Amino acid sequence: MAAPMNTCKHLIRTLTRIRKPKPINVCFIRKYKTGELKKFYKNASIVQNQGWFEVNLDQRKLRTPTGNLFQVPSEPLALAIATEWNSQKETIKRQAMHLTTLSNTVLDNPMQRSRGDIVRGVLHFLETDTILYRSTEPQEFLELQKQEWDPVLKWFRSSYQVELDSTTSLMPPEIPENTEEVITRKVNSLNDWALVGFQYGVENLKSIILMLAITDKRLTVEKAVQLARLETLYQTKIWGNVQWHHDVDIYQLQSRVAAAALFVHWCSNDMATTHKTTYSNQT
Amino acid sequence: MDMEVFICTMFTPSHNKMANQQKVNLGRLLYKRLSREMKITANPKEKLYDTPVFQYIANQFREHQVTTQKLCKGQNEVMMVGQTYLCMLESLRKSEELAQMYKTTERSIEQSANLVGLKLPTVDH
Repeated sequence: MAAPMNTCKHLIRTLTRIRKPKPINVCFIRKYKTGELKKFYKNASIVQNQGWFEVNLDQRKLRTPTGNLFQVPSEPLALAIATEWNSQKETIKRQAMHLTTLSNTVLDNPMQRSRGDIVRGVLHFLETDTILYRSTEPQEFLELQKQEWDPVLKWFRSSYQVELDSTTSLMPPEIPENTEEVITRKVNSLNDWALVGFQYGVENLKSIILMLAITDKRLTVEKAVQLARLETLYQTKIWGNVQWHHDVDIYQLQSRVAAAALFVHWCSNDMATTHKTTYSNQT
Repeated sequence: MDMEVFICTMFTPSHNKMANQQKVNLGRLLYKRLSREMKITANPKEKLYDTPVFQYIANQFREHQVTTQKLCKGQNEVMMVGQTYLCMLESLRKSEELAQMYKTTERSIEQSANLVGLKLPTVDH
């Protein structure tokens, strides 16, 4: 990635030095090759540098799409990213490297989003949360929704001490002010890195409640994806499952949400060491 | 893989409580599945044992062997992180397999037209 950019810059520099009156065709410097990028390194490893972790592809430092140095605040995250790069076979498939993409988003902030923008974007999903919208027919599906979604809603209400009701109409439910405040505070408590991961997860699941259940380690990613796709699941049980559409959808969603969940977990440094009282011969 | 055997023996509980045994079994299962995924995705030239990623995973299992509640986090948290990472690796691999399985080359315009019995118009230059 760096090599063609450098040769292009070098070319322009030499051309401008010649100072001929002829018109010069300047090549547009693309930071990305739009064709398929071959795997140009043998091994990806991590190094620690002033509290940040960087990824080295062979001897060269990995950089973000805009050319910034790629740095992450957490060691397991850096290791997982290095694994992503190592698991590429002959060509680089960026669409499979979710952790790398998320880190690039935080480092570059390509859409110039402030914290407030991201938090507001997340909270938009509160009133259109998937598990709040119940469909009244068929009866079997209504029962299924109650059976699967109500326990999560119950946990959410008790864990955050808020009130939130499900609705059967097309209009968004009334969100009590207290609920909105509590959730805003919770989302705001995430640091910049975790916030981007959280927003990505909410976007994919189309539900804040499910994402909170994942980050609070109440649901596994597989279960949450299943709950997010409940209607599709119900329909495929009746009408049949199309592997190249439904299964692909499931695995894509799972990989994205899992990456988001890991990103949130590894970037939230709320660790404090206290000594646990030791039980000598008890449980 | 002797590393696996080594870690598995470290998991033998000192007292036989059902819940503990179940947790230990879950731990072993998670470890086995993680190792399998890493073997598939990682570089086949190196030994898995030498990679820093694997060292990290093995260290985590070693550290949290007695209890997962070393840090002030919830119960089973470390296990869930391991499971989430496993889920990500497995889902990536499976979606790639499906993509390969159902991969088709895009038909040219002429071929698509032929499907419905049409021919492309001839252009006079």
